Amino acid sequence: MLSPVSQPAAALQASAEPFYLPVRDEVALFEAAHRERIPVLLKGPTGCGKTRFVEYMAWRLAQKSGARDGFALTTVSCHEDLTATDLVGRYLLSSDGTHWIDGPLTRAVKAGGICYLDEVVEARKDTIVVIHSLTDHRRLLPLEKKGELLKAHPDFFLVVSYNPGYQSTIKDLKHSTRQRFVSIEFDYPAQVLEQRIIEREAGVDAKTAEALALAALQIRHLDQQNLLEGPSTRLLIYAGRLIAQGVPARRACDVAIIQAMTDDMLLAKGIRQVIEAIFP
Amino acid sequence: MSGYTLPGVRAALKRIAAGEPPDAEEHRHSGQTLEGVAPVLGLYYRALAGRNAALIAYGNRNDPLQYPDTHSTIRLPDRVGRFPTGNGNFLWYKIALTHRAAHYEGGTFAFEFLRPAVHFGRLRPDSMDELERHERESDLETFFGLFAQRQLAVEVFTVMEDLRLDEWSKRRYPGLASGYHKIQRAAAHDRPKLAGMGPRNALAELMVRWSLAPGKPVELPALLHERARQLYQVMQALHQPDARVEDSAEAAMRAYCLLVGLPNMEADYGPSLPLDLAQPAAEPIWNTVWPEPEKTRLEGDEVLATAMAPVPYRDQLGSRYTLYKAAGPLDQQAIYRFTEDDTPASPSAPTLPNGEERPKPPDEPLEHDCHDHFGEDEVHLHTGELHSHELLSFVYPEWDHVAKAYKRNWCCIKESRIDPSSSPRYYDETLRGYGRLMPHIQHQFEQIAREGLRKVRRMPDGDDLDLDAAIESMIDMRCGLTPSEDVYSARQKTERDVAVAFLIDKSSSTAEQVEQKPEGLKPAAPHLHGRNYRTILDLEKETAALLMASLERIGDTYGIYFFSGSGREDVKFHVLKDFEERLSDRVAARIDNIKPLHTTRMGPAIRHTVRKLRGQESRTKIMVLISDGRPFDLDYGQQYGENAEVEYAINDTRQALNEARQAGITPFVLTIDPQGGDYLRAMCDGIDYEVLDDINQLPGRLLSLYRTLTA
Repeated sequence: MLSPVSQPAAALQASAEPFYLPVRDEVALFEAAHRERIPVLLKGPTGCGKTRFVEYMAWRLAQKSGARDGFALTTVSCHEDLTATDLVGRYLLSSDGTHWIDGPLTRAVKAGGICYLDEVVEARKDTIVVIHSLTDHRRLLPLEKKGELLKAHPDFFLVVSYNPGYQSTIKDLKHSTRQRFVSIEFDYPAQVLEQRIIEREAGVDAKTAEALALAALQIRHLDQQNLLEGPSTRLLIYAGRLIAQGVPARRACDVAIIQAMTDDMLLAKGIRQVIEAIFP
Repeated sequence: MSGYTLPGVRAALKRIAAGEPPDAEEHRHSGQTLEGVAPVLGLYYRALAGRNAALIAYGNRNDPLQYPDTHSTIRLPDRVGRFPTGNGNFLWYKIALTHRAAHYEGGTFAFEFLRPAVHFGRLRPDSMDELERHERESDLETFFGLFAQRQLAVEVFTVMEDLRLDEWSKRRYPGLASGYHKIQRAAAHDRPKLAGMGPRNALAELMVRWSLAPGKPVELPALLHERARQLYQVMQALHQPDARVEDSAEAAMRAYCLLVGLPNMEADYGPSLPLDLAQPAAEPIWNTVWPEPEKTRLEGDEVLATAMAPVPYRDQLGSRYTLYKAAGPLDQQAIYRFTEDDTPASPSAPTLPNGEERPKPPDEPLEHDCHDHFGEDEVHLHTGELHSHELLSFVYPEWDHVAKAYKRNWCCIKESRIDPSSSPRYYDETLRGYGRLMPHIQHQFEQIAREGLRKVRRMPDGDDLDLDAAIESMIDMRCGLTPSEDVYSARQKTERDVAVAFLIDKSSSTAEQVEQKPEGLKPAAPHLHGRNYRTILDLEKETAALLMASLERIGDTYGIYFFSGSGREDVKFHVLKDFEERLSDRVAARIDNIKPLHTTRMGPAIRHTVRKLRGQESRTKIMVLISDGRPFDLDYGQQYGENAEVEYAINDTRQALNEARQAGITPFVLTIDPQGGDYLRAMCDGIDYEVLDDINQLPGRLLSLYRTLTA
């Protein structure tokens, strides 16, 4: 497998402040963990703002450290075919032999900055084991194929995220992995906060944002009815953006929220009744 | 002709005037039935109110008073044909449910006696110290206790609160506002005539009308004009966006004073004149003595007591404002406690002797039982939810097909490992009994191919360079040919990767003796286990023994579980062999101690097995349910009548099987009930099943099925 979706060689460097509204004390916790270089695990349902939080923290840490170009952030979206090779690096064939190319994790370990493994449980368990020696006091990455042991850059900081909402113990982290991180829990923001986020991100008026946040609150009541996860803030923002683009509100919610959440006709009908009550 | 209404006739006339043919389709199907709308609107209600409720039809549709709602049951007419179109009648149901949900969203039951109202000065006493209160009394009960005519006070408060909530709902749900107006107009249109009513009834009726259509012009005898204007002013405050339930309460006190202050007289008290609402009304001097002193009943009070016809789309408060809880179904547990000690198993201890592995700690809860959006409020504490306090007890929801909703935390599974007997006698005897058939059975299983993790060469990408391919590519390159890009080797997981759970019914009916038949896989020794007969459970146990012996050969991950029910609080889940356990003598010796027990509550047993299977990493997951009859338990659907239990249990089981499927597990149901075909079709909607005509076929059939299932 070739390297999965990851940032290009020059890792993302946020220069403008990403929009993020703190829900609780996650910013202070993250900063404290970063100072101590304790790896961080972000837990929370899909679309609740984990990735945005990491981007925001990268920017914030850069501001604090006075780095002009921002703070390097390397993101790897994990998937079930992701192998250790994809993370660490591999030999490639060239006209005059083979040459080694670093994987995203190795690049981050060498250059420093935040390395963010998104949805880490999606990766095969044997893959995740490569981060073990990086996440304890050793801070070492073994490059088996090269026979090297790489010492992490002092600024290297590992962040992983996962969604416990999949409710599958298959997609659970091994305890030996899990207990190397401090865990910060995320959930959907409270209604008022979510309204502000939608308003800001989707560029809709307060009334529409309020209606979308109300719809989300009510649809999330249905989580026992075969709806594994309620609508994420991201979906609400999508719906808001479509509305801002002139799509009628009911239609926008239909395509951005209902159809994205379920294929069950009955469930969709029930949710549609809620949407139709809220949006004229 | 009650279906013909003014708006309906108008619509029809308009259509005729426009030269359109009458919409025959619409007319034939314009009525809506509760049965038709309940699945969708049940979801709608749950989303709005954040709680489940069963939508049930009135027994007698003309008498809504007979069936007040409870916190978990909503009564609605079985059919609505009030409007000429299907949409109109659907809307009626939707508004009725929006109104009911508003009681929870808008805070009717969150009334606080001491909290001030926003738009009214305080008539309620400033403190509750002087009031007579029962130990467990809600604030609303205390409030109603202030009135001498308590029933009237409840009704007046209900109207005021209904008005407030309807206005609140129209603002909160702009998409419903026009529909709301339509339903309210129709309800106002259907109100009884004021003419012929006594003064109290007339004013009360006016109050209900204004709660539906504020300020609608009316004609009243002059005696009522001033009071009507005062009432109107009181009601105005409830239209405000910030009005809350305490405002309804204060408004109700005032309206109550206006009503009871009227002389109690017969209908004829002057000619009706148009009421001018623009004229200012003097602020009355309200009664300040609360609680109201008990009044001496005058003769005729009963006859002339104030009566208000209910508004069909609105609900009655019923007993919901009290903390009273209706008695639950008979505690079936109590009945069972009289039976002999039936626990052949002890809860597994974290540490076991004989070097056996520790059982794994319980997995993370399923999605059903770990969310709590409602908090442990007073109401929820009394809804019958169970909690698991013990090690190895697990709480699961149950599917209520009537309510179209899960009952949260409804069944408690008690998992335990079966106590092993001193030696694996039953297991050994079974294997010996099947004697020469064993090699044949095991051969069948060994034929199920085993594959490993394969290294695949010449791949376009992979973990390592494939040396041969790389060299060939280099040669090609040097020769000036286009080299192949497939120079990597990858490790691909193609091995047999199966986890299978056998869930076996051991309800008391499995104690039945079976007729021995010549056909089928059967032991060579006729008198197995020292008896000359075998029971259904014997055959199940023999099957389990054969499975254990065979599955060990092919290395599939498997678990064998027996279950029985005895009420929702105690569903037994006995582990013969867990996924993590190795087949040891100790495990094999457990078979001896499997005894028939109680009833067949399949739903929670399936859900628990699903949890166990979720914990397995295998790609193929299979659950085989073996039963001797339909699901049944003592408190399993009986609340809907004696004959409803079959359907209830089947629906819950079907739902549990569907959950398994959604979790990526392949369920398979095998039954030895000859009548199985009748209900299995309904129970196994899209799930494979098989009815065995003869129980004697069970071991042989299961072994061959296993091959097909895991292929």
